[in-house]
Amino acid sequence: MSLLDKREDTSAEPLSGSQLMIEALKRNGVKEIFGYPGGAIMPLYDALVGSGLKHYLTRHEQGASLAADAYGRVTRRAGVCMATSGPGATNLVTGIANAYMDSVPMVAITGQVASSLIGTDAFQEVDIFGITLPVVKHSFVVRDVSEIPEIMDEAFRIAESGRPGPVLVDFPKDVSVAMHSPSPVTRHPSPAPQPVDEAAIAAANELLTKARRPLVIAGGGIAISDAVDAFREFVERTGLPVTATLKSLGSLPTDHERFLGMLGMHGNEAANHAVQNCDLLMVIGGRFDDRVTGKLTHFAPTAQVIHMDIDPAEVSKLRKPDVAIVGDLAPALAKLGPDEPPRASWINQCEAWKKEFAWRYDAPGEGIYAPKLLRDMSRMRDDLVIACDVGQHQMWVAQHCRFNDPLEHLTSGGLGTMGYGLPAAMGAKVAKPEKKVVAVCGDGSFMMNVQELATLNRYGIDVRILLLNNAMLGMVRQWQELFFEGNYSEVDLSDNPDFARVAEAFGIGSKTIDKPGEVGGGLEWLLADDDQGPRLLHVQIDPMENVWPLVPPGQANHKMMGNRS
Amino acid sequence: MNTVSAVSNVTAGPRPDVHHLQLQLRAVEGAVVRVLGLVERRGFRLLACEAEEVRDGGQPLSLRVRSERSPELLKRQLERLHDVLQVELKHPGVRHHA
Repeated sequence: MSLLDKREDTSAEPLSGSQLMIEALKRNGVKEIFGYPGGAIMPLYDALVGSGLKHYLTRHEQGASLAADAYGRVTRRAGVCMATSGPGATNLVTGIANAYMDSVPMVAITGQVASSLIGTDAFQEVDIFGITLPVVKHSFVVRDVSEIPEIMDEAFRIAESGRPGPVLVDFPKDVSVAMHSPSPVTRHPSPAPQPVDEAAIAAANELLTKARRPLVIAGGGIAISDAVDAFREFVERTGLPVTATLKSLGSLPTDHERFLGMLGMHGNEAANHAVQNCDLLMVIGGRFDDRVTGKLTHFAPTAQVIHMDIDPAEVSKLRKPDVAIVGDLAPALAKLGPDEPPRASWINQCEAWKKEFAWRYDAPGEGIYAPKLLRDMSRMRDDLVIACDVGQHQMWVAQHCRFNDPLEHLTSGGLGTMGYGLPAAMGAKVAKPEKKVVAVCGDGSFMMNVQELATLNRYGIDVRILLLNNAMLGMVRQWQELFFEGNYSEVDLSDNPDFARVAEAFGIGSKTIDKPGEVGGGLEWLLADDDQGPRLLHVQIDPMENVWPLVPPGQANHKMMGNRS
Repeated sequence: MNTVSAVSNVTAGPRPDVHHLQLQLRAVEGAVVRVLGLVERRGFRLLACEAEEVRDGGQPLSLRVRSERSPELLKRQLERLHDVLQVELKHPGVRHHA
């Protein structure tokens, strides 16, 4: 029984604002929190002791917000992070923005200086409410202790409903220590789901039936709205060919016969050719991101468009659809489908592209070829959850790893946050301890949140780290090679530390490999089912390896460079 | 009626890229600045802004904005803000790039 329940039963003494905050978190189903204490939030940390909530002390507030992001992705419930005022709060911002860009439910609690000091440039005072306005779904400043239960219930409801997103709650110190006798909490019922737009469904079905070359783009909204099963049923029923955005990889199993791979800048050429040649494009839970479309005016130039999304503000933002279906995806998908299966000539063409542009792994060179290593790793087990950093390795993971579920792939799609991988893997492992969670990191990204090795070690969070070290900011170097005439500027990381020794210093076991013949043994050690805890496999790869293919910026998607497939 | 208004020095004639929005907000902390920030972030120049006196817990807000972008899209983007209760596009102009 919670403190609040006791109070309601016995009219016990008032609770402090911090105790009310803890009760509100528990009432909203929170069990784990990522955070970092400091001056203004000390009363909340005081109330945390003995509360039953499990707090993970990260070693930087950014680690807390990125871990909460991943926790929110894999559970579809708001991940919770908290930090003190001033620099603690600003250090959360990247993780909050990351969640906003990828529509991830999150509640971030920030300590704030006392109300009487707000606006006086007090020590560790910053207007975090104002700073985060562009990157939150909503935000609150708790001005009165009596507001806490309602604000917190509303924060979770907003974060998790509709198109999810982060909600910030700024918590002044005086409010956190004020006493209040709470009234019984009134739970507002969730609004009834919107009925499916039958007229739009009929119009979409007419387009589907008339189409000669229909194609589906699976977007991240499929996973967010828990519509994977409905989507797969739709694909099996209709037989439509499918491509996926970065965030939707796994919505259809990678090996599915109708799956053409990821589209866009580093997509598979089969997918991009299909998009450019289709006459009907059905975009399900996607938002026409520029990394997906390339030059927008040249994207799918011969296609009519059906756009499905729960957010009406996404409709016509970048591409005007012929039919828009606004609402929850699953019930709409159940009503959609052409009268007849797609024409054999189109399916045959898609299969021919798929065969022609299948990935190859016979790379020249003496060193370890990262795409092949990643392909091999993802095929060693069916239960891997892979969290990525950002850069070349992120695209190699998207291209070459096999995913059977979109929640197996945690990647910073919208914001592109270097340093996401390690804390994200940490958050995912805390949320899903039964899963084998691998952080695939680049050397540049790894150094941005390397301090979280201490968090893994402290709590024994069994994350397996695959560090692909090319001693380079590889993606920037690749662009400088291709688009800046090889004028390499500030991309050399050849003075990286010895990562294996770094890991050992944090109490994390490590191995280093640099030869193809060592890959198999290295991966078996990395993924082993044993009780040796977190570990790091340090893989040295060619600094000059590029990600292929590539759509140059500002070009149409069919003008891909460097096809080595 | 008490009003707080801000008017830029840009002359706004009867142009097709100038739009007038009438909003009703919750009268809560941050609601107005959240709206104004979104308007500018989404590519609209703020030409005039008038916030009327709060009544019945609501904050009426009138905006005149200019952009080549779609005012209907701006309306939908404003409507998804939690503190925005209603948006009316009063003079949508003629050149809409939906």
